[in-house]
Amino acid sequence: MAAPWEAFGHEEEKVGAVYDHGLAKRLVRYLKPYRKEIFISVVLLFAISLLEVAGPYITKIAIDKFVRPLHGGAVPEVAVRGLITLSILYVFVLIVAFALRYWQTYTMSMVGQRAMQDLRLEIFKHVQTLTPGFFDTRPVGRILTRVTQDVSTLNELFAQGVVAVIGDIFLLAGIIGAMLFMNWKLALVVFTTVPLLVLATAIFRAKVRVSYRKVRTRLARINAYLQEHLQGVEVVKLFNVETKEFRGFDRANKDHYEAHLQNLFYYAVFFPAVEFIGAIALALILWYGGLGILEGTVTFGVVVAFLQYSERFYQPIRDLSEKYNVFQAAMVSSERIFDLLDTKPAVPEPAEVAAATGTKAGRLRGAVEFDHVWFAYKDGDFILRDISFKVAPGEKVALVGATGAGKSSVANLLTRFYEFQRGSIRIDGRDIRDIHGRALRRQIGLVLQDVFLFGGTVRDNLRFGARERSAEEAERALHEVGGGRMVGRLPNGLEEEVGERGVYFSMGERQLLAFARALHYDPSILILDEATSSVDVETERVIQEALRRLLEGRTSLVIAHRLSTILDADRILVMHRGELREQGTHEELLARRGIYARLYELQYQGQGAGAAENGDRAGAGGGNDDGREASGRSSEGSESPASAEPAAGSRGITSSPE
Amino acid sequence: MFQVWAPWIVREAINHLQHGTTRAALARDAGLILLAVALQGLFLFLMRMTLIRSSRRMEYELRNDLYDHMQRLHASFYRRTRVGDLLSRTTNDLDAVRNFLGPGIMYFANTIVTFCFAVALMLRIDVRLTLLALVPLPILSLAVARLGGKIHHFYEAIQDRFGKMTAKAQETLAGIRVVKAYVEEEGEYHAFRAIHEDYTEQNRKMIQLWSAMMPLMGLLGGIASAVVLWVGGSAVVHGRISLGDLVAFQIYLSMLLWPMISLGWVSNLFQRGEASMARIRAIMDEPIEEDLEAPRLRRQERQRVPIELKNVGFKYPASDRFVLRGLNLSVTPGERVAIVGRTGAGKSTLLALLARLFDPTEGAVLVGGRDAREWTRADLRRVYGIVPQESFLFSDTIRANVAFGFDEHGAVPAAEGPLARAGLRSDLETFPRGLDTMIGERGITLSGGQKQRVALARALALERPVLLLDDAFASVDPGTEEEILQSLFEHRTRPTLLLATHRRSALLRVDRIVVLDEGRIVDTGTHADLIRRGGLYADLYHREEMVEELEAL
Repeated sequence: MAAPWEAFGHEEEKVGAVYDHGLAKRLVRYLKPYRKEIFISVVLLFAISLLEVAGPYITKIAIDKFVRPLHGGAVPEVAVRGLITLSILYVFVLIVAFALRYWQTYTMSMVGQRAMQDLRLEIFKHVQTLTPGFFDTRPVGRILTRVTQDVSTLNELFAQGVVAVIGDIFLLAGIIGAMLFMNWKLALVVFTTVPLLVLATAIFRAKVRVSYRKVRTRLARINAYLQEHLQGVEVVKLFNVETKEFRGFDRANKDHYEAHLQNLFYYAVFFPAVEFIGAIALALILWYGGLGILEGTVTFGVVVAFLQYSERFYQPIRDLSEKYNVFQAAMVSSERIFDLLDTKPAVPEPAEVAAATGTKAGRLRGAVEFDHVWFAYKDGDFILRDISFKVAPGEKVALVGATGAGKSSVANLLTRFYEFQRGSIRIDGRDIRDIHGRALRRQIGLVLQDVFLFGGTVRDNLRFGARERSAEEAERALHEVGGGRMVGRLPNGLEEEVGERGVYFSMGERQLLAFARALHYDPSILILDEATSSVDVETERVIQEALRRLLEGRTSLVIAHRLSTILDADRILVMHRGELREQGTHEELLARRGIYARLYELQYQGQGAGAAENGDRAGAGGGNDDGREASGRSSEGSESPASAEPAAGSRGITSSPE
Repeated sequence: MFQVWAPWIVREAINHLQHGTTRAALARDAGLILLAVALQGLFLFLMRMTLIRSSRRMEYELRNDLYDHMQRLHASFYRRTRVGDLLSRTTNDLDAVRNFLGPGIMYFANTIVTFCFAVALMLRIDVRLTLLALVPLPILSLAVARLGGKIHHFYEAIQDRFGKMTAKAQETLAGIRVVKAYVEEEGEYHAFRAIHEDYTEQNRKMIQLWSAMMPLMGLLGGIASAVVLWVGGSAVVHGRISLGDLVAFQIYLSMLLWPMISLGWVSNLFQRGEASMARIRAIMDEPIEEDLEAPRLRRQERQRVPIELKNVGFKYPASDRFVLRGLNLSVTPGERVAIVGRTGAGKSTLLALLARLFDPTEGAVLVGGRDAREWTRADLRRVYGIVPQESFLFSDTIRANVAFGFDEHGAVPAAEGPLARAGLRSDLETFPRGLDTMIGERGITLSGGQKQRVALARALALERPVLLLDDAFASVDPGTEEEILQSLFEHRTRPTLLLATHRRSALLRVDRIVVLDEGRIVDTGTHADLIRRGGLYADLYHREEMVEELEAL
């Protein structure tokens, strides 16, 4: 069972630095392809800042030149004409500013989108190079968070981060410049409020950072509590502790509420405080500016323009301080993303990449040899001990043994999903560690117990892995395994959408699809983990026929659950507790009256009536009893097929190591 | 209200300045501005503290209500609902509702008040100018509403594509073995890329709109102030209004800009809040477990209770297949009964019926001679100590897990006893902090067998008259199992034992064995009887023997 609080794990609570040089350097790499756009954007921001500064200045001119002098006896008509000219100029400035701002926002937002896409694609590509072992220990949900949320957080940095900071600084510089230019004394007087603002912002930021962190950790706690208690709701009911557990929830909830109140208080103080600092500036302008007017050193226009500037002055400063959060969140997210990107596949590829082999290497003959192989998922806890066997090209070998005997591990090693510790595995005499994983797997077909179908049409699924072959060939493969009738029943035939994970198909149909997919893939070695689910007699017959067709002429290793499959095999390998204990034909092994004889009696004899429910024992713990199946609720949690603890799964090769 | 006062003072001051004023008057005006803004700040502070605080309070209450309701929902609800969906109700939806009730209402109120006062004062200055200046503002509101609708539409499209992208990534990750085995990494990459490009394209459409929206606000607001500069300026020139009027007017105008914009935003919050509230209500409308009026039972009355099944049949809601049918069984106090059957025979369902996680579809379960449905669930469940098949433990200390069934305010017995009886004494020594060791992700990871034994200790600690053990030793090694069974069967209170099991050590000890097959009782008797009869039980037992033999090899 996956740890229930996984999705809201404490990882999410991590609070990082605002700036980390290493991370920043790596992040900048993602912006490099968009140098041109960024350059344009910065130039635009510069122009925009100038235009923004122009507005109040136009007002100043209007007042000083046309409105004000009237009292001095200017001609009203001239003044009005001047006002009209200036207003038109102002509108023109506004329109240009609008156009430039639109251009700039669009350009930069798209840079963010593109960079985000690049990063997501890179993560996606990288994650696919990781081995299944990586997914055994991590819930899919957490990796998904990296691909989705963490990247989205970075988008904010890309789109509104650095460049917006530059824009704010431009604007600020422009305003300061204009104010100094108009009247440096008055400007300096007004600037005396800036330290106040900076101080207030700094205090606020420090306080809010702490209280906000509290809010987040407490929210995470609530969510973890909820998830756990909803998943374990039956236990809560059975133990009659609803009231007590409610109290526990209430405590977590109240803590969260209180953290918010604290946070709220800071906000409630901060915003009015900033307004007040603004008012101080306003009062200073009126007072000092007014004195200037009385003395004749300051004009009315200047005072009015200052009033307007002082309003715009605070916006960039506040924006700048908000960037803090963006940066901090981005650093945390990028650290997680880079951690994932830095994870190396657990199975090393040969040094000189298979340029020599290529993915289209000549067809293997399919001689497989395990030579004193030792393997452990966890250090020292050996699942395979000293396994040695040979399979001749074209030979059909059945692997039998109780759950946990190590059958799936044999398959996992042959496909290079996991690295083994000792011994060697050879195919056609060549050590598989010298073959590039992808080249190797192009020659090995794998059919898992739980058939995994992908979204898309039936045809898409059949052509999986072998798109270079024609669609007709895929169809032929389906007919060869006896799936013709099934497709005939589908309203859209091969174009039928499979639906999420193939839910619209029965177990038997899904198996046939998997067989057809493998046949179309046409591997020289086939590994098959036979499904244990029972199907009706007719389907069983079709499946057996299909299986015969699929194995024809191929080296095959079958983790067998059906008696017919074992009887058809050229040789049977009996695994027990990680060792290869017996091998031979069915008759030979029966005569030895050893492990196989017992297994046979236990699992295969009298098959049909009782279905194969054999030694589910070792895999117990993961529930597959009564009601669970009937109700259709998976006991494995909401989204991760691979559970957090590899030992607990019970679904054979698809979910976790034995 | 104080918000509109400050510009008025500015107006006065400028007017004074024009007619020549004293330094004292100037200083007084400046001081008045500070006072006005200070008062305004005080009210803003109070408003935020009350409105936002009450929205947080509401969030807290609603979350509590939701949780309380959810844990009282029927077990069947949880079999058809994903925990993830419920979680998103209590996080995202709750957030949306609070955002509307808190900031939504606050900004709305702010907008209305500011608008009324500012416009009133503007009208006082000059009616014609006010009308002219306000012309662009309704356009602004309209634009926000129109664009807002479009943005909402794009937003949904983006969410949809985001969902598709997530689904694709999840599919690939979940099927990674197949992807790798079929060397289809590139195919998956291209498929993902195509989906992501579509996502980016949807974003681009949104950005196109969004990039226009914010600057548009500036443009419209700016045009209004250009109009004021022209018309208002002319008015000053002609002496209809004063320069102070003009300046105050400009300030009011900029003050109105934001409220007009926020109106559109608030309507958005309202829509989302409404949709979320409907989703939350859907859960609150789900029926909870309710009990018939029943007298509370005293502890003694729960001590020695016979259990009887009378022609019990059961099918899960929304299924037509009977999982259990025609069960008749009577268990006397102190009796030890094993329930044996193949996987899917209905053993776990039977135990769930006893504890009323479900009620039988037909027939009745009698506990203490009374239909279980006439008990309150709380009283009924106090009869049992239960070890479910899935040993679900909570991420807390070992001690807290063992004391799980006890109220923390009442007397909690020492955890050592039950743990020892569950065969964990020696394991305990290996835990870093003994009983106070945390388990789960923030602590140590227990093995399957250890989990089962902690779950057993949790049930034993309650000292209940009836113990229901559902395959409770599946992951426990035979030696330890032997020890546990020994103490279980020799415990002084001699509780009734109902064990769903197939382990030999247990089968050989019980008084009676009930054999279930496909939901029906096919045989009952002692081990010796059943073996002699040689039916399904003998077969299962024989298999078990072999499994255990194999394990020993």
